[in-house]
This record gives sequence, C-alpha cells and structure tokens, in this order.
Amino acid sequence: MDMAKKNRITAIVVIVLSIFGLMEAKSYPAEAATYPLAILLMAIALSVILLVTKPRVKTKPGNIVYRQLYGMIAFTIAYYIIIRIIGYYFATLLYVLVSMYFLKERNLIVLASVSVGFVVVLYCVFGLFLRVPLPHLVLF
Amino acid sequence: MYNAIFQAIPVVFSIKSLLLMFLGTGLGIAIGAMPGLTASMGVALLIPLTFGMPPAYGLVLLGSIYCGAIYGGSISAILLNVPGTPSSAATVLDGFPMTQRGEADKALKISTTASFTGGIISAFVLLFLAPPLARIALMFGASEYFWLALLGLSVIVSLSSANVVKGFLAAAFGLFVGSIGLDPLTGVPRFTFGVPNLLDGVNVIVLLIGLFSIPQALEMIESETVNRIPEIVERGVACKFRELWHEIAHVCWPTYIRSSILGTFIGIIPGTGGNVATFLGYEQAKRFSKHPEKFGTGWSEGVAGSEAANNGVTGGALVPLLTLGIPGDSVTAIMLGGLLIHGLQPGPRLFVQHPDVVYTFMVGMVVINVVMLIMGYFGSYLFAKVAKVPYSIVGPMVIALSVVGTYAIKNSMFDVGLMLFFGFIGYIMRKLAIPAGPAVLALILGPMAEENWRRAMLISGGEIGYMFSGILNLVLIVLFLLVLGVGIATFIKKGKRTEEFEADA
Repeated sequence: MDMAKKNRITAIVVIVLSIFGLMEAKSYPAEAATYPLAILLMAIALSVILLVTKPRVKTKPGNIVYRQLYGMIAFTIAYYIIIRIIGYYFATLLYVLVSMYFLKERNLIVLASVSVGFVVVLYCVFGLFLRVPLPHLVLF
Repeated sequence: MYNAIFQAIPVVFSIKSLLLMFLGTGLGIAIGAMPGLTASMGVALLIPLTFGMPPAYGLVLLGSIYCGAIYGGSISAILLNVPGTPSSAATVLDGFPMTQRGEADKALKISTTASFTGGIISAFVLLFLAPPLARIALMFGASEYFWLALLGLSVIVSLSSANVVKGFLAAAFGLFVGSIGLDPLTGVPRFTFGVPNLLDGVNVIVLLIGLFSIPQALEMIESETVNRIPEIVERGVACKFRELWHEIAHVCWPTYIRSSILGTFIGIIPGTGGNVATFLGYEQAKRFSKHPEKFGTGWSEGVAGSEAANNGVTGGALVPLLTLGIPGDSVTAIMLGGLLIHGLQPGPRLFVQHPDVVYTFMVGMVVINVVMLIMGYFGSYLFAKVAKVPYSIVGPMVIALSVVGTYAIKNSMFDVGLMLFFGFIGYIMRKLAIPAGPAVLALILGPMAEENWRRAMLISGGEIGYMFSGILNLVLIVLFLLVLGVGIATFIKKGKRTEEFEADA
C-alpha cells in the first residue's frame, strides 16, 4: 500500500471517529466540552488537509513476515488473558518460551535458560525488591 | 545555589548512589548497544524500578540509563554498522569504516571520550543554567504557562515530524487521550463511557510504554532477521592511550568542544534530541574540519562529531524539563512521567520545594558521565556482546517487561490492557509514518494548557486581554507564532525532506 492510500484511509478513519467524539462531547456541559470539541474539530481539519495533500514521506521498504507478526499478537493477547488465570510468573514463563520457539529459536538450552532465567530475574526485581503484588496463581 | 551543590555532594557520592550509577549506566549502555532497543524504551521500561526508592536516587538511576543508552548506541554503530539507537545514526558513517580498517578499538575509545565530553559539558551547563532560569520561571503565571504549553507543542510538532500535518494529528491524539477522565475544574467525566478505571484519566506511563515499547518490539518480531545473530568484526589493533591522546589533541579536540556545545543547545530546545544532534553534529564537524574529504572513509572526527553532540543533548534536554516542566526530548518526556509518578511536579517550584532532589540529580549527572567514561573505556567491547542477542529473544522479553512495568504503576490489569491497546495503535501509527513523540508530549502539555487557560480566565474574570498582558506573555506568543510559522512553511514548501528524523532517541 503506498503512502497516498495510507494517508487517505487514515484521514477518513480519523474523521469518522472524530464525528463520533463530537456527538459524545456535545452532551457535556459547555465548560467541560470546549476543550474536547476544539481538539476533535482540529483533528477533522487536519484530516481534510491530509486527504488533499500529497504524501511527504515514502513508505519504508522492508519485508514483514506476517506469520510472525500475527502469531505474536495472538500470543500476546492470550498472555494477557492467562495472567489472571495462572498468575504472572507462570504466564510469563510460558509466553517467553512459546514465543521464542515460535520465532524459530530451537536451541533447548537457550529456550530453557532464557525463559527460566528471565522469570527469576523478574521475581527478584519486582517480587522481592519492589514488592509489587503481581497476579499470582490461585493456589499460592 | 553553591550551598545546595555542596549539600548534594555527599548524597551523590554515597555508596547507594554510586552503585545505582554503575547499575544504571551499565543497563543503559547495554540497551543502547542493542539495535532493537532505544533510549526512550529503556527509560520507560525501567521507571518502575525506581518506585521503591527515594526520588533523588530514582532520578539518578534514570539519568544513568539515559546517558548510558545514548552512548551505547555508538557501540553497535561502530562494530555492526547498525546504530544502536537513532541518536547514533551518523556514527556509522565513519565508525564502521574505521572498524573495517582494523581500528575498531580506536573508534570505540573516540566515541567514549567524545560522549563523555558532550555529557559533562552539558551537565555543567545544566547545573549552572537551570537555577537562574528557574528563578525567572517562578514569575510565570497561569497565562504564561498556557503559552508555554502551546509553544512546547508547536516546537515538538514542527521539528520532529517529516510531515507536519501528521505531527499535529499525533498531537491531537495525545490531546484527546489527555482529556479522558474527570474534567479538572468541573468534575464532569469525559469520554469514560462508564468505565470506572478511566475516571482518573490515562496515566502517561501507560501511553508511553504502549507507544514506544510495543511497536518497537513488534517491528523486531516481524522482521525477517528475527533469528539472526550478528557477526562482530575482529577487534583489530588495540588503541593505546598515547595514540588516542595524540588523535584527540591534534585532530579531534575542536570537534569535541564544538559538537558538545551544539548538542547542548539542541537538547535545550524542546522536542529535538539525539536523533537530530547526531546528524547536525556530524555535519558541523565536517564543515569546520581541516580534512572534510576524509569524512565517510573512517575519520575519527566523524565519530567524535556525532557522539559529542548526542551526549551533549542529555544535560541540555534536562534544562527545560526541570525549570519549566517541558521535556527537551523524547527521553526527558518519559522522565517527566517518572517524576510525576514520584509526586514531583517539574518546573520552577521543584527548585523551591525539593532543592535536595533537583541538585542531587544535577550534580549526579556530572558524576554519571565520569562513570560512563570508565565503563565505556574499559568495557565497550563487552557490551558489544549484548548486541548479539537475536530479536527472537529480545522481542518477547520487551513485551513481558512492558506488561509488568505497566502493572507496577497502579496494580491494574486494566492499565496493562490499555497499554497493549495503545501499543497496537502505536504500531499502526508507525506504519503510517505518524510520529509518536508529539502524542506523548501532547498528553502532558495538553492538560497543562487547558487547566492554565481556564485558571487564567477565572483569575481575570473572563478578560481575554489578560492572556496578552505583560512582557513574558508577549515573548512566548511571538516565539509560538514563529515556530508555528516555520512548521507550516516547511509543510507548504514542495518536495520531500531529505532526512526523515525519527521522533525517538
């Protein structure tokens, strides 16, 4: 997709979202509504300019391996969900292990030591040192 | 002021503080040396480490990471031909050719000493310029702060976007996110859609980590080279001290000084940072050099020009941050978030209410640069090993760190989800060439502008003239219009810019 098309899509999406925003902001009392209304109107104006002007930046060349990208997005969403179920530390261990394997790391020693080592360091820093009460497994 | 400096010295030289400096600088250099990680990301991810500490130590740690990361980028620039951070983009031009000639050690030592020079000059500028500037800033009232916020926004947009319209769009996004939550003066909930977690608004760190770390991690992950372990070229001939000294004393020292001062100025201007300094420093070094034809072939002045300038930014960028509450570059924007988390409001009142914290930090910046010199001089090749970690390992770790770091702010999984959502938006923004920097700065400056406008209206009883009264207001307004004008003129001028500055350090 070239930059001109990207700009057009961006502009249209921003305009549509801003209109929704305007409808919401209109329901606020005048004093509280002024600032958001100004921002949203500014966004619409900018989008119109973007729509009618030529792109200033070329699309950067670069090959995206979509399988890797979408896979990791899916894993990350799954990670977010399972943190609450099996606790942060186990979830992170699983996430890092699975992700590295998915991204073609196959050396067993690396897989094991990095995932376990990373979680141990996280525990020392956030669990022991900073004492952040991270979500933990219901069992302990 | 000298009293405050003397009082800060024992704190700065305490064991705890020195340990933090070594830790922070080491982490920073490692982060900088890894091509997938940037200084902003490093500071954003490590802010939660500071939660358990007194603010002065927290700032010292963040400052060490900052200086270390900006320097660390030169290591992979020189050894791998890939800048570790955008702030070392120009260092590859002469750094890698030097490596190819077997002069890697010399290049690294030039980079270390140049970075040190830049950092220490800017640290002293910070120490002696900030307090008097803060005294002037104490005279600022609500109207002055309003114009200052607008000025800050316009500078950032005008100078850090290849396409100014997109920069303004990013700023509009940041302004919008900043308006989410309870309205500061009337208490009406705005854009919360009934979600109680949003009543407090969106925490700046959530947006920061989302916009700066996740897109970077995703770009690492999606790349074809996700598994590649870069080969580091042979060390080459070790550069003895005498040879280094000869090179500096007879060739480089004017560049060291010039680029350091240039970098400091670039840092002081809000919105421009290492990413701009690296190129300007290199170009200025070439212009004033006795041997401009040698640039690009592996000439030490090229490395010196870029590195002295980018580390010169560090102290300079802290000047507007500490005195006015306006970040000098993207990393200091993140440090602003860090300060707010500790309950410290950057600005002139910080000098009055917490002088111990501010002076400990400023004096600390001087010492941090010495620590960086030591670590870099003796250990730069060791840090290069860090750059060999493939993206397939770093990427997931960055995401996991982003999650825990966000959670540590308010123990809220909602914040984590929000951060990931912003991360996804940030990734799309990156693909659309919309810079993230203006969004983050708008999140901070927008509420500042709105609150001060309304406060000024209350004070003046609705008199608009109040906003234009007094010399401070007029100076700020003129600057604002000037910068805005430059930005619009740049946009209208047909043709693409030759250099696209990434709005990140």
